[in-house]
Amino acid sequence: MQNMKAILKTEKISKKFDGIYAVKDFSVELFPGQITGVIGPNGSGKTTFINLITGRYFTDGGTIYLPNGKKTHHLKSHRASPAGISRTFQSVHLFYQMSVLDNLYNVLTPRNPIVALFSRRSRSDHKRVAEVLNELGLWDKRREKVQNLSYGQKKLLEIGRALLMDAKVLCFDEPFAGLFPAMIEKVREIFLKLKSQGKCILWVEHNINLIKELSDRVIFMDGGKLLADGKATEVFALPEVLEAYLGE
Amino acid sequence: MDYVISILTTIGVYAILSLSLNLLIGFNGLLSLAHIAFFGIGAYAVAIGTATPDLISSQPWSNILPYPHWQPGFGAGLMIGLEITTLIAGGVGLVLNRFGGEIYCIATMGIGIIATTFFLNATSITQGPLGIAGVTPPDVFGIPLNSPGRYVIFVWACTFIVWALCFWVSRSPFGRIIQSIREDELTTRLFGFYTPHFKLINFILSAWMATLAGGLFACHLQFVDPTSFITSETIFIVTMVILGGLASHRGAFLGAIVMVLLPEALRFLHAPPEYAAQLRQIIFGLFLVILMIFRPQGILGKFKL
Repeated sequence: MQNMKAILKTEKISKKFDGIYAVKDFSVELFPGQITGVIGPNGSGKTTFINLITGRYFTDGGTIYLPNGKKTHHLKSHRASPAGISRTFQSVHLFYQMSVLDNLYNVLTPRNPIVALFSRRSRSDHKRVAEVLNELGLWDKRREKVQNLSYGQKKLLEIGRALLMDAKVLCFDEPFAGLFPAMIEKVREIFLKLKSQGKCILWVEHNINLIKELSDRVIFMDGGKLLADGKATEVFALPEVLEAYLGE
Repeated sequence: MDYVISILTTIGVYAILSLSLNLLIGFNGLLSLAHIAFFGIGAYAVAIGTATPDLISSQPWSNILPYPHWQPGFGAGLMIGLEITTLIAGGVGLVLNRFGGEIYCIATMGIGIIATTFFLNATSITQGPLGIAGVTPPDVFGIPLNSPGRYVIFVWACTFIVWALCFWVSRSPFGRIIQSIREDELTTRLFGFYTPHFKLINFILSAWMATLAGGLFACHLQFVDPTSFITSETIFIVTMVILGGLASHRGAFLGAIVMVLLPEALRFLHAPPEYAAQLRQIIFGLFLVILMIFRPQGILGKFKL
């Protein structure tokens, strides 16, 4: 991967909450067609890192080099998506009192409010939404309000919404949590398909077996810092990683 | 018969107000208490345009109006009202749409209070507590709407147009985004939508409709004074929206019907006149409390506050 150009890069980004560093001087390069797993104990800064590169939080320092070629010190929340970054959340963030279809069509809406006011759903929008719903097995639920879906279905829908963005970098925060085996299989297939399409996937996960199986590369974080970066077998052989996951 | 027509006209006017406020509260989740200001601007603009046009001509700023040779009347008054509304709603929206929740609610209430104070004290324009009498209904395609029967048809034609507009806005992709802002603004932003712009456009659209309702209201009563635009009237129209049903156009109509007919029902119950007004306020308050407890989305509503 050393010869490949990074699609997203952070350079010494930091984030403090009440004077305590959640992420400190974090530098990493992410590459297209690569699945990068982020592991670490609770409170190690994994989700904060995703929040920083998706614009949910401003960084307190450092630079983010975006997939659209621009760099920024303060990524605004509405700028990450047009720059080619999409995400899911640790706790599901959907529009609960709206239908499954509306949740998906939303991300295909023009970003200019005047254009959005006069635009209508296109045939290609219908086709893309139908494809995603069929892929996720949610076609029969398309007219349901999201609040009536099961937790697993909500997780899948959130993944579907991220897919529709057609982003270059997709960040998934614990995408397998709370899913039953058939759904896990679906998400696994989606990961592999995205990888084959050259997408860059960054995901946070606590399930070591899934991380080992799916990740081309694993980043280990602790105390907001990058402690290890390499292939899963290499990272999981490190004593500090074993200590963090298995105890002393 | 004139009594029934008058009630129907009032329902039509309040239905426009309710439909427009529903775009903000029901669809966008913004509890705006500034709506009464735009309703008042429409009423005063039309009143001045038809009854006291000299007030505008004699103002030093009349030269900067886009119509140097404007003809007094409903149309000119309404246009001026819409322009003032656009300026105020645009300015207020630019600042307030960065906020939500309690801050938004309290700040918009401040706008309503400022407007009421202006209507009461800017005597050179609004004639203060005396109000403006002699407001005349418009002519449409050369037909004077000077009879209650004709005017009620005109009001309901406007109501239908506003309903169609609200329906179109709420079903458009724009409408879905304002609903997603109501649900989760941060997530909407994270998907690339600069939400203050969406809220601003919706706020202005809604304020335009309230201005139209105000103009129709002035022509209906043929008189405007500041008591029609006080803070308790804000509660009245918010109750109308919540009672009928949040994010439901049918609910907006239902809210207007119930809230207009209720005081009339009290009249038939022979409530003592000195208590009737207070009784009306108590019943509206009770409505709000009961609804919040048992049906927070309103009677026909689709969204819970």
